[in-house]
Amino acid sequence: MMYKYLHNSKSLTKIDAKLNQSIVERLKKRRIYSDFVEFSSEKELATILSGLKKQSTNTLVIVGDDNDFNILIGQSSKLDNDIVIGYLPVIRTRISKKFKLNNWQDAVEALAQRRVKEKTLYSVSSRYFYDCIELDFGDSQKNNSLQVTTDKGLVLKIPNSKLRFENLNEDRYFYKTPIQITAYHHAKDKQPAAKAKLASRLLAILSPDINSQPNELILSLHSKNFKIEALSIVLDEVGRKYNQTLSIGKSTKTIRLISKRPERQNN
Amino acid sequence: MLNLNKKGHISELVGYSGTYIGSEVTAKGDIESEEDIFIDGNYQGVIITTGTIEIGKNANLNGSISARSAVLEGIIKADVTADDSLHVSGCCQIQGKIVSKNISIDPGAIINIRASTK
Repeated sequence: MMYKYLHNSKSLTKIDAKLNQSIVERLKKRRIYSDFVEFSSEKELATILSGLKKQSTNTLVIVGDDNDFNILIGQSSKLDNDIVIGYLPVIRTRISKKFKLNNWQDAVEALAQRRVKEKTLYSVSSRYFYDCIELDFGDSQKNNSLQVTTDKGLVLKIPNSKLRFENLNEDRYFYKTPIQITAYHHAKDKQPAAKAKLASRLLAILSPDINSQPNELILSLHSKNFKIEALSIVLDEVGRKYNQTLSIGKSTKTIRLISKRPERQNN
Repeated sequence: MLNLNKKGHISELVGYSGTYIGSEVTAKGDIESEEDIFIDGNYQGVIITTGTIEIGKNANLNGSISARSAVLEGIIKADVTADDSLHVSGCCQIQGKIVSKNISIDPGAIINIRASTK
């Protein structure tokens, strides 16, 4: 079975030679033959994924952190449905916790066990996400308000803020309204320098819970779908651009994911 | 239950997963939910929840509310039904009909209501 490992060379999570060697050795021990490929941009990743059709790869594993995982998921429209996706987080992250992976060794075990489960993706316009996505309307939105509309017709006007959409589909409590929107004021308002921004990003990676806890909460709401209308171009947490009017909701796209999470019968 | 006086500002709450409409938000429409709801902004519409509803002191609410229990502050023009308990705080201005098993009203509240216990 051929696994292809993808690593984002621009990831904030660096993999040094020693760690790389340890991962390769561990994979070998578990008889997983590996092929490491680096990419430096989403465009480059898209080219790699398009080329997979001509190869024998049936499993793609993203090595890195949640941002890297989300970049791969964002490109999953380019994947054939029979390709399985794995995640090898080199640090403890929000998604690794969700997958019950305590460390990368755990992830290797999960890859060896190869429990494959089909998951439905959510989408922001035409881009997919699995766990959550954050949108930033930036300074060009200035003091203009954003309009958020739910599928039940609730219309909300909120000040310019960061929006986070989280997929709670696996929590049975929220199966009718699986997306939680959280709006909060920009953290950068409280951190003056670019250095501070970098520090906060690093802190968010090292301690992902901080990332999920906004400084000043404006809105928290659950719904099946959301429509967002803004005056400015929107950026997500990895810098991808979106139009001013966005639809967020469940997509028809599914992925096959390797996970340690115990399977549920009704999901 | 969320209580700003006891727990500090809601924005400090960790991992809050209920419904929160903050003081800077204007909302129009209906909410039907099984979660706790906290409203501190301008709201116009019908709210139905099997959880607790708390209307904050910055809120301006116009519509109707049905909940398991309710804590009311702010300016409210609504009929409020709370199955278990309904508390009107001293800083609340309320106009409408209130129905609950247990109703309590703090001194200082400005009320123009018809109250009945179930």
